[in-house]
Amino acid sequence: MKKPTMNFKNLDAAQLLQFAEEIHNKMTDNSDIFATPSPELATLATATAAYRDAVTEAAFNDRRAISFRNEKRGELETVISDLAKYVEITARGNQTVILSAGFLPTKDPSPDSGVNPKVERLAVQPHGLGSLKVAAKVAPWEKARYYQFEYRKKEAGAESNAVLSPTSTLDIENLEAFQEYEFRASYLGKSTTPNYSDVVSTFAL
Amino acid sequence: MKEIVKQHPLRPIILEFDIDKPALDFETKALEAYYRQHDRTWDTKQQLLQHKDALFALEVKITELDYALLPIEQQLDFLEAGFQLTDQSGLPFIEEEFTIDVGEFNNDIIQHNRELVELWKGVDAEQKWYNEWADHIYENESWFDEQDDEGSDLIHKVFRHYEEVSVDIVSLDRDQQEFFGAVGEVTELQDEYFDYGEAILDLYTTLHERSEKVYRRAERINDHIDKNIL
Repeated sequence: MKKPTMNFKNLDAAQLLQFAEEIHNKMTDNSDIFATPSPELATLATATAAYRDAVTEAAFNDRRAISFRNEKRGELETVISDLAKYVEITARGNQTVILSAGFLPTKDPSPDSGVNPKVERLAVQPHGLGSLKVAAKVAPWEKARYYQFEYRKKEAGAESNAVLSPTSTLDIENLEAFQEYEFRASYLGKSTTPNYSDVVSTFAL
Repeated sequence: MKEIVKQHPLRPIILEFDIDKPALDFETKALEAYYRQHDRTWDTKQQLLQHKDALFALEVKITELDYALLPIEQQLDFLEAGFQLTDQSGLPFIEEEFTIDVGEFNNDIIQHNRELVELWKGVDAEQKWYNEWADHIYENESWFDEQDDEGSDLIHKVFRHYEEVSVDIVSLDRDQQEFFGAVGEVTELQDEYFDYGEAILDLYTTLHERSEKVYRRAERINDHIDKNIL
């Protein structure tokens, strides 16, 4: 969900003043959306003016003035942070509302939060005698980029092999004759975290 | 006042110190935090540049595989028409006779598929990093962590106690403003990286969908040959 960015702590003085003024102007223009801002916009205006004056005073490299300016900056940042929280609650993730308050929306989290569904109907069928291969098949999933098939000998400590297939069917070759194997499969869509099917077993012939 | 220059790959940190004043404990910690912020910004910049380069390499390969589909699709049009699997009316007129070797054609498809699978491994690795970074930035809004925030508070404290600290806050202020500029540049780089990453992942999805259609058409032709010719 979008929220107003609070990443203004590394803006220089001119950028921070511009940002504060933008928020004030836009929230004033859109007072129908932001009816009861907390803190009030007058507080923002006061903090902005105080910071602007302090920046002007500090321009002459006076140490006391620089220290005072930093204090005023801290106060302005607190007012903006509090307003950002108000905008976040009002906007409820709506990017247009966030922008209409003069804030920038945050970057979306990865679009990849969806989980791959568990593979259904994994079927494994040996080819003819002496072929040393089996045909593996799962129900197709339209969002799958790949189908990951895994197999291993059905014995303790056997190593797994993974094969990627762009299609929902795959011939797995070079198996050992009369050896029982275990198979499982997963869809790989935008999310690349496998979600494996139940394990099925068959003999290679 | 003594000017001390600390060479940092992000930018040189130039501060002046009153050497008659001992460095206070919180001041030392504040400056260590300031250097740490530089380290983290530099590290972020390096990572973003490295992954942007990796995306560029993927773009080259995607484009290559995209072009490789063109002659395959053209051959498919003629093979489908030749085996009367589709209407022939849309085909371009070619004056001279030509042949398509189905064996070679199938090899091209297999090779394309192998390269697409190989490409996917690279796309997968970059997509993971992209997603993790996007999630991190969504949660934290920047590459700075809580320790850096505590460091910023300490730096504020240095400004408040300007009469007691040994670092000259005029030099610290000037240096910090320049650091903010460097942070802004890395933020811009990050925006570029996110835009580019999104474009490359979309490009790959388009290539994958187009390839899938081609593979299905080729399978249909091979099925037809198996059933009706062999």
